Amino acid sequence: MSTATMTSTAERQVVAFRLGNETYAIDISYIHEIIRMKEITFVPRAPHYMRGVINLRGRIVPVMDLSARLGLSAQEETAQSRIIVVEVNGESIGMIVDAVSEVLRLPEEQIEPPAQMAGTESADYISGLGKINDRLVLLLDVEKVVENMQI
Amino acid sequence: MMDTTEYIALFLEEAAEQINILEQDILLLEQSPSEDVLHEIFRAAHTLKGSSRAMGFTAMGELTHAMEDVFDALRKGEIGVSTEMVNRLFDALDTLKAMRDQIAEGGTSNIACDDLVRSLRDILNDAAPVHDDAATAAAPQKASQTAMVLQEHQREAALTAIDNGLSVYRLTVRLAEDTLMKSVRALMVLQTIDANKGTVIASQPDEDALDNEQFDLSFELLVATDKAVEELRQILLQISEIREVEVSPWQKSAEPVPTQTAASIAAPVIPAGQSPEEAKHTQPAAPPIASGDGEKGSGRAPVASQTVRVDVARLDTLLNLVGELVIDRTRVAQLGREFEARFQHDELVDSLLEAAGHIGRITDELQEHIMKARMLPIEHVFNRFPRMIRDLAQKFGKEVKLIMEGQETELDRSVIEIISDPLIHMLRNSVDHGIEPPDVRETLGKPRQGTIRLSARHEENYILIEIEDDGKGMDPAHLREVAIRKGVLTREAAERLSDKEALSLIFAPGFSTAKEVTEVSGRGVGMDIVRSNIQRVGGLVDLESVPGKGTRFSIRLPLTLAIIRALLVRVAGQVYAIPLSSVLETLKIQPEMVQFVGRRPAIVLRGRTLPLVSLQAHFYGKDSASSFCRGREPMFVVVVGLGERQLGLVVNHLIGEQEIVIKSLSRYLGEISGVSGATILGDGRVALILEVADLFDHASACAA
Repeated sequence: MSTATMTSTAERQVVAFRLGNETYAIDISYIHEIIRMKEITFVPRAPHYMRGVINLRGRIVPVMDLSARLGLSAQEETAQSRIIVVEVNGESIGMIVDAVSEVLRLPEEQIEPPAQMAGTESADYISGLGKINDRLVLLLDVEKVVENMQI
Repeated sequence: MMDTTEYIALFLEEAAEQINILEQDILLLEQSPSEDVLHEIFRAAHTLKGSSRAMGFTAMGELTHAMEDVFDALRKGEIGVSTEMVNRLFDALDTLKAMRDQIAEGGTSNIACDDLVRSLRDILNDAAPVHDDAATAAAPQKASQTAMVLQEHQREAALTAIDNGLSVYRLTVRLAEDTLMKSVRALMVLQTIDANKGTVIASQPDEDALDNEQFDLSFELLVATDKAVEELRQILLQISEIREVEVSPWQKSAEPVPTQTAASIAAPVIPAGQSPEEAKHTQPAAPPIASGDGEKGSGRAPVASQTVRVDVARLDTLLNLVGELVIDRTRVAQLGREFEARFQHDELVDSLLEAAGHIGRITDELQEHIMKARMLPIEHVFNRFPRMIRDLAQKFGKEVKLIMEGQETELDRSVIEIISDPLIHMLRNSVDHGIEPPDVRETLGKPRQGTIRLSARHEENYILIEIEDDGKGMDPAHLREVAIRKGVLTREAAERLSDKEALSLIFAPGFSTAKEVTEVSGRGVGMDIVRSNIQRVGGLVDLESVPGKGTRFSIRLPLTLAIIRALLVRVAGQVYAIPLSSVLETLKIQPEMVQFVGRRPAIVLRGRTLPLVSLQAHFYGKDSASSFCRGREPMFVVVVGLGERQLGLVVNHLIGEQEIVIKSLSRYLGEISGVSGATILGDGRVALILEVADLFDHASACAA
């Protein structure tokens, strides 16, 4: 966990982003960088939610369509679309999101377990619900999103 | 008290070397205990004992001492070699390795070896003396203080050295009078001779006495070397506190001879004062690093050459950087061409092209040299096999001789790392399933001892590794039956396979012919994993087998994994790279040339049917047949080969040849059939690299 959680007021630093009409967030410690959309080389026969690979300064990094991965409806690519490159277990992977909004500090006491989400498709990948000024932020469990991806 | 920390690295390196020699020689001991081997093995144990004691690793010293005693007894013919003895020696060796590793990690070792030492001592106590008069006769006579008396084996070693074109000298080494640690100086003399490819055949007093400082200020050595007198003398004089070294050529007739028979052996004596050039000239070609027949060169001592040790990570970084440079070189060349097209013969454009060309040449050279720096002899993998085969053979009650050839063949260290496991698996299979038990072999009229031949050699841009056994071979009919029973194939499909294709069934997932899963073969690694590991690095594996006669696996590996030449093609608007090593030719065909065998498209090329695979159909899920039916446009076909099989890949466009840097696809993408990796093109875009072997599988699967 990031050092932010160690402080006495126990808060989590997350990057919030938009997928469709929902606001999601990823713990900042996973995030490697956030880049604009760039040319993606399609990789045939990969899982359907994998868009392909990009050249990230000489490294080949796979890119997934996060909406498709979470089973949400597909979104049009816009000028706001971004690729969030995360690093999990030493491997990088990019996730396409509709827009990146801000870095938030979420106090631990305002994070609830995702019980009430049960039943929705993306529930498996949500580790908690955060509230900020009446706004609901879905905390994404990046490791779960990434694990067992191979067919 | 000496601060030993800075010597530890040196000690560890030397220990690893001696342990390696011990391992090889203990094996030879079991097979053919020649004088040379006995001498060398004793020396290795002795050296290791000395250095571990000097470094304060007493347990290690104890253990090597016990081993040395066993070797000494063997050398003197007091005991004979037994399997039990070899097993105990190997146990001791494994413990030595563990101790060394522990020291390498933490600077100390706490591994206890009392039991082992006792078990080694028991060998000496239990062993009934060998009732062999000859051996007793050859036992050491206590050498007098005045002249060096050679024992029979030492004398023979000297004669053999002369036969091999080496010179044999008598050295009298005198130390300065105030020398404090005489044994250390003596040891340095011995090691210096060793390091200069010399072999100490005998010493007066013997080496134990030298070790224990039981000598005055001088000692005598009999040394075989390819150096000239003066050269050897100068080398030794560089050791401090050595006052004088007298060198004289050894005359066989001048030596007191313990037995009369030896005197009748005629051997030319190389005259003293021969120049090094001449000496070199008379020396026969260097023996192969290690040949399989148990013969040992006496000069395996490490050569002090002009080398530096470099961290592997640093080489990897260098190679990565060169990889980037290769990409940029391509990019610059491409830009140059674009400028040329736009501005014609502008002076600046010409200068740019010239500079680009120069950078290109330099990059090529840089790349070549860095590649070479990363090459290692395959010996690094092969080394552990003799021991492994021995242990396996013992476990399964087989008798197996392992012959290794071409250990000096070099290939990239990344390939070395990957090839190790598949080879282990295939060798295990050969011992476990290939070679029959000795009794069975005898009834079949074969020698009781089975033979496994492991060889490596270069072939064009490939390295070819073969594993061949003279065991029971594989029966295609039997393999078909097993495949049907295990549900790998339907009966119809199995019967359509040629015998060669049936043999390849062992590479199919879920296929294992072992009647029972043994501890060794049943480690969950099947031949399918072996093949996919080899293919992953762009290699091929093939096998031939004759029932009753044996099996031969051929593995073809690229020399390096990092940079290859590839043919770039376009499929559905995207660029793909086909490794040039699998490309046989390219064709432009008219759609009406395509025929259909069932639903499989094919063309007839020089009288042979060439099956076609549309990459667009393969990758983008379109129906194969329909993609051939539309359009009047000519099509481009890349003919690729895999062993004897050929396949035509239909692509939209041919782009051209280019050097590409191979990068792996993320494991998050999983295994993609038909794609082995990716590369970055000159314009920064990513191109996928085709895995040709997968496409062949796909083509056969369509046929089934």
